Amino acid sequence: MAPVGASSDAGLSEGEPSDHELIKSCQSGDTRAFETLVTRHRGKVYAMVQNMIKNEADAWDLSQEVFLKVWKALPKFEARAKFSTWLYRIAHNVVYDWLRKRKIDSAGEFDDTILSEGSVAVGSMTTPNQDLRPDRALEDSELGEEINAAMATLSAEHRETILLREVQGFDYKEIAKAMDCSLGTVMSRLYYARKKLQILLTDEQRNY
Amino acid sequence: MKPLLIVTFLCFINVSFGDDPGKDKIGSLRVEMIFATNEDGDRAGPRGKVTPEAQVMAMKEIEPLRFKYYRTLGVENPEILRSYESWATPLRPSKEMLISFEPLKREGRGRIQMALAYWQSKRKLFQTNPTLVKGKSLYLLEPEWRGGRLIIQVELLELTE
Amino acid sequence: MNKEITDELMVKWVDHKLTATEQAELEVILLEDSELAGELSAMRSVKAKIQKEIPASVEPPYPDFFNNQLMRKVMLDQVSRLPKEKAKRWWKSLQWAWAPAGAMALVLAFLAGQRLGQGGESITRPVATSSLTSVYFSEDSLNAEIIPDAEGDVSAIIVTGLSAISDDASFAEIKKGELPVSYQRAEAKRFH
Repeated sequence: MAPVGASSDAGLSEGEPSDHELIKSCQSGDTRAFETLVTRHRGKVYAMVQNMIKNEADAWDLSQEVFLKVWKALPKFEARAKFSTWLYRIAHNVVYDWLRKRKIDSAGEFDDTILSEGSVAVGSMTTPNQDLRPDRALEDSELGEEINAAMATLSAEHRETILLREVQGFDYKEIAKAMDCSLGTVMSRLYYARKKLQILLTDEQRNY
Repeated sequence: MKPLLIVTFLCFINVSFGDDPGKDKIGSLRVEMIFATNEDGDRAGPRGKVTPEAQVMAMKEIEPLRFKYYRTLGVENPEILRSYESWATPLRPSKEMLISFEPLKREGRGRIQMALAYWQSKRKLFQTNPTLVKGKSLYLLEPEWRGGRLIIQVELLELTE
Repeated sequence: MNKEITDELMVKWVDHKLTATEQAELEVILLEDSELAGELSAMRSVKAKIQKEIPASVEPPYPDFFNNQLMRKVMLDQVSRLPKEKAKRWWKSLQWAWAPAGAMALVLAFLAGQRLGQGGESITRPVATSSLTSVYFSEDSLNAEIIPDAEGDVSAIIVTGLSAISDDASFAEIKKGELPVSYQRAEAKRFH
């Protein structure tokens, strides 16, 4: 599957307002425009969050949190910035806050799913063990399961870098902005993550 | 008399003149945990009290809830807040099983749709969005325990109009 | 050559982003390290597999409900920013704003109409009832039957597949830090 372009407006049909047009309306208080923005981007946000935390119920909550933060921060959004990068930056912060909290709350007693804040969520599945549990989208694919397992061995930063590059199609500078790190760090993480995945997945292939 | 009624009414609906109308109380629930079994009701242990007969008869009208013995393990009457998620801890002091709830929308007089979730061991196991009706109970038949089942009875006690 | 530069060249090679100059630099490195070419090729292959297997976009379960929930929070946020008197009038208008959520629940109810978890089907479908109730599960093993009363209101939800509670559990203990995070926050919001 080719990565979706990082451009927010890629794939829009004629007559559809661009992200920036929608944002302008949102900044005037137009909640319908905001809902259109949400509908347009919720799949990518949910996929990203779910790939990072491997927990559908919490992915639902966190995705909602991302968009609520977007809504609150829209007045500060600058027209010259790229919406998708800005959106992913917010998603990045939400995910990492969750991961940090999970680490604190689960230390020593439970390593089970940590419950997220906020209101009721309609999650279809809660993964009890974050590590090595097959993502539902890859359920039917053995290769998918192997990839998932390999990705789970990466740190959050390395996993995110790979997801932003290989899956979301972000260029290096966009990744650096979304993750608030230097370009050099992005390159270094990409190299390390790819090398590790290559070793794991190539060894898996040899076993069959 | 009229001023007294007005004051009483205002106290009842707990009008908030504070900053957040979301914290207004709009009603309350009764959330009760009941142990039901065909074996031995005393297996509920010392905290189990015999469930009143009227309550038992109401449960027995629903086929999957028909057992021989019923013991009430705990009850809590939490408030329903306008726009906050709230919690019921019917097995206080244990937090092993919790019910979270949040109002979704009113559906006429004495009716409110709620989002209810059942939590066990810090995990949300399922969630539902039923309409609760004042004067009626919703029963959730839950896990097995000591040869019987745990039933959570949720009743809408009050709802502001 | 500096390792960082080598790593960067390799990353760019995998992404087909080398300039002509960088390509030439990499070729020099490859001449000195015969295994590197195989490594690079394998990295590209892994990248292609990831792109094939991991979707860039996954709709959240019940996307319309996702939107409804979110837009409700947005509305609440808008209300919380209004002056006190306007906020009180807003609460009344919110009842009408929630009508679409009810309509969507109706649509879901008509479209579904089957038990969750039955026969290995997707567990993301709601169970339809005459009172528009849905049940969503965290685990595949869970199932539910919804029983209405004579007036069509939900009377009971019979859940099966839940793990049994240990017979030893006496529900007597409080362990520090045992409470769900959202429980603690909800309590804090209520009482502070």
